[in-house]
Amino acid sequence: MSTFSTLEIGKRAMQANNFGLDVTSNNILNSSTEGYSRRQAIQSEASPFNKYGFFVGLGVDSESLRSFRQEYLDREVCKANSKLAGYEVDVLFYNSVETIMREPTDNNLGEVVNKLLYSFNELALQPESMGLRANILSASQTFVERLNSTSNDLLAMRKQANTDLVNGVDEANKLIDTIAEYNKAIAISKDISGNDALTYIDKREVAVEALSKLGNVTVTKEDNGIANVFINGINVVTGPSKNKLSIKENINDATGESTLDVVTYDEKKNLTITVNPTAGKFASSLKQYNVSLNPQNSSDGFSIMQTLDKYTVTFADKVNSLLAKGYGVNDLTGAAPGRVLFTAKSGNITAGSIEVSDSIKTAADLPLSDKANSPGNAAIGLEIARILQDGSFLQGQTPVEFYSNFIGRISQNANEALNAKKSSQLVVEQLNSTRSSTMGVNMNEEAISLIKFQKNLEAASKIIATNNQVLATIINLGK
Amino acid sequence: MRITTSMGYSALNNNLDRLQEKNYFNNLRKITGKDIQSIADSPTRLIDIKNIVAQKNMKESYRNIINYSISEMNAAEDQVASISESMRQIRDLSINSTNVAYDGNVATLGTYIKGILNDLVRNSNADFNGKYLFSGTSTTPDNIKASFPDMNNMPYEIVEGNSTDENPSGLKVVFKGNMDNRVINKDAHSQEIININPNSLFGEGGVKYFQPIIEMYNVLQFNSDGSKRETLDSLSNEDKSKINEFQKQIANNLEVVNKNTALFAAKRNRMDSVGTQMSEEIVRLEEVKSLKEDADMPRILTELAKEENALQYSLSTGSKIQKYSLFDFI
Repeated sequence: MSTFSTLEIGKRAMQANNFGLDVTSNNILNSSTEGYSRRQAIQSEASPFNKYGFFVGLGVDSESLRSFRQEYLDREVCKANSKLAGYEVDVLFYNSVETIMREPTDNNLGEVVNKLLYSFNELALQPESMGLRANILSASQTFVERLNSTSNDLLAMRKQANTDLVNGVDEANKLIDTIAEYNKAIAISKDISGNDALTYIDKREVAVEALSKLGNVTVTKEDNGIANVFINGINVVTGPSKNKLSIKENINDATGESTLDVVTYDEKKNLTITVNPTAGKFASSLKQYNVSLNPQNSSDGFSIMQTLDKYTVTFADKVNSLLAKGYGVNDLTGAAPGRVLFTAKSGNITAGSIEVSDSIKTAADLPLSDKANSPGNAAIGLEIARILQDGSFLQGQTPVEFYSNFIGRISQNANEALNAKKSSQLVVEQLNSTRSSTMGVNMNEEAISLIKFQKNLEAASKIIATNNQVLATIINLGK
Repeated sequence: MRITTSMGYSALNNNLDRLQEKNYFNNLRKITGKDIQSIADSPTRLIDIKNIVAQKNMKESYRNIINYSISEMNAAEDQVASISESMRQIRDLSINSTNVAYDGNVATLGTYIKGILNDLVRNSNADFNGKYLFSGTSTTPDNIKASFPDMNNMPYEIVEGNSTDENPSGLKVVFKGNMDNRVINKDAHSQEIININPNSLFGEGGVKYFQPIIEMYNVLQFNSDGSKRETLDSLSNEDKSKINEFQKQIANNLEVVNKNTALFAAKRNRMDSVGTQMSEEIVRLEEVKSLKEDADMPRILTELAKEENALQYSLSTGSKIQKYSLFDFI
């Protein structure tokens, strides 16, 4: 041991406390940085040396940099984020559906149908009245226009779901790239220093959490700090390599039904496997596209478009089948002319294609009488009006019951999504709070650490200054 | 528990979001008066409200139809009362004419009866809101099918044909409507006929009851040889016998008309009751709808006041808490 050992002790102390100050300053300045986990400089006594038969430590060393990040909490936050993100998309979806269906206002589709049927009832008082007949045509036009606009708006939402999926996949692929890059950087840092590069780990976790909002993500960690990321159990990141996501459209040749899948491609663009997350934004958007807004839905799920089309077709068929047997004001002889009120613009009648038939050119053409040359007879009109009470209209329900239950089902789903979102929000807040409590920065603690390291630094500088004087004395001894 | 900087900000932020959301929806409830602002609020109540509204609107529609029908039936009833009165007058005149004490001009009596017959036909052609009341479903002039070109487009018309031995005046009442019933949907499950069928008003073909009146006129106006009666001509026993017979027929027909009129009035009263009952049901449905749909204003206003306070305190307390740390004192 030499004369300069005390200097060495002072130098080590200054280095260690400087490091502590650096770490503490970094904590303070990143206290509001998203995903930042506070670090702590861990100091330990330097290795001892033998002096005068005694072992004396060589001061203090910075042993390690401790992170307070907990994998368990990260995992739970990812899970909760997935659920919350999915429910948020669902809530927005039902808000849009509510607007399109004009619920819960009095101007909804059900009331439009009821008004149309009431107009047939009112006509029975004055069947020859061209004004009342024109009223029926006008109510029919309102009915088809409402159906067309509702259908078009729902289909536009479906298109938007497709766009959201495409955008989501782009975002997911960027995040996958980011995670893979950080994996690479973390591995290199570990190789170089033997320690985890906490900054890269934090940033990678931010990317993983962002990815978890898109789909249900699970992560496994290797000893070298690399994270392998899975979406719905399908591997998308393995160390530095990645399997990117894509959207694949499937068309059913028989029915023309279009559905979408989220799939992964490896780097050689070979289709590997269908991912189809079960939580997150992807899951909700897929459900919207493939089921809720799919007019040809073949799954067991509840499809709003399909139900609307069914309602439209049933109503149109019932009205048309009655009118086909009827006679208009100017039908004086012969068989019933077979005029119908509703047809399709093209193909089969659906909510989007229904229109008022041009076989009924004027109000007088409405075939509301059940015999020729009897314009004051409104028997067919009365039968059409009674569709309102027809208990066999659709699935054993009247039109009013069916429509109420249809809206009721949408309402139930919306209510469930809203309640789930609220409870998920609370869970996410609680988990974030717990995680923040563990790995977040407390300004008061950091202020104390600053003071501590600053004082230690001052003390270390005093040691060096004192030792400097001792050295000067020793040097001047010979003078 | 360790409290960090971000926890404080997150809690404040989340709290403010929640309070503002509640505030927003309660304000909407206050403005609109409706408790349900979204389909997600209460699915069960939403379905109930839709069903109640549908029921109410349906009953209102039926009630309007019933009210209109009752107006029309009232008009028909008034006309039938006039018709009945005319037939009674004819019957009374015919009885007078066969009375031994009668010293009036028989031919003049005949002319008088013809005048009442014209009134009868005019009443039969009465309309309500432009629709003939007693012509089946041919209720407008366009739908009255005239048999000959010079006929008018009213359902009942007295035409003068060629004179015959059986019908020296050649008069005939022609009916140009139809015998169909005018039907309405009275409520969700039943229908009602709202017109008096011409058969039940004027007998078979809508003209049978006019026949004895015309025949009586013929007897009063013409001699048995077909020549017109002179002013001082009197009735033979045979004539009186015929008039008695016709008077009996008219009396019987009058009885049938009065009976059918009574049945029609009873139907009108029944429909009136149905209409009144529907009005009461509509009021009840409105009440139930209001209970389910309308916002409880005192509760909403109290909650708004609470939320305003909570918001203010959150804002002021939250901002104060975030202000201080150890750095402010070193």
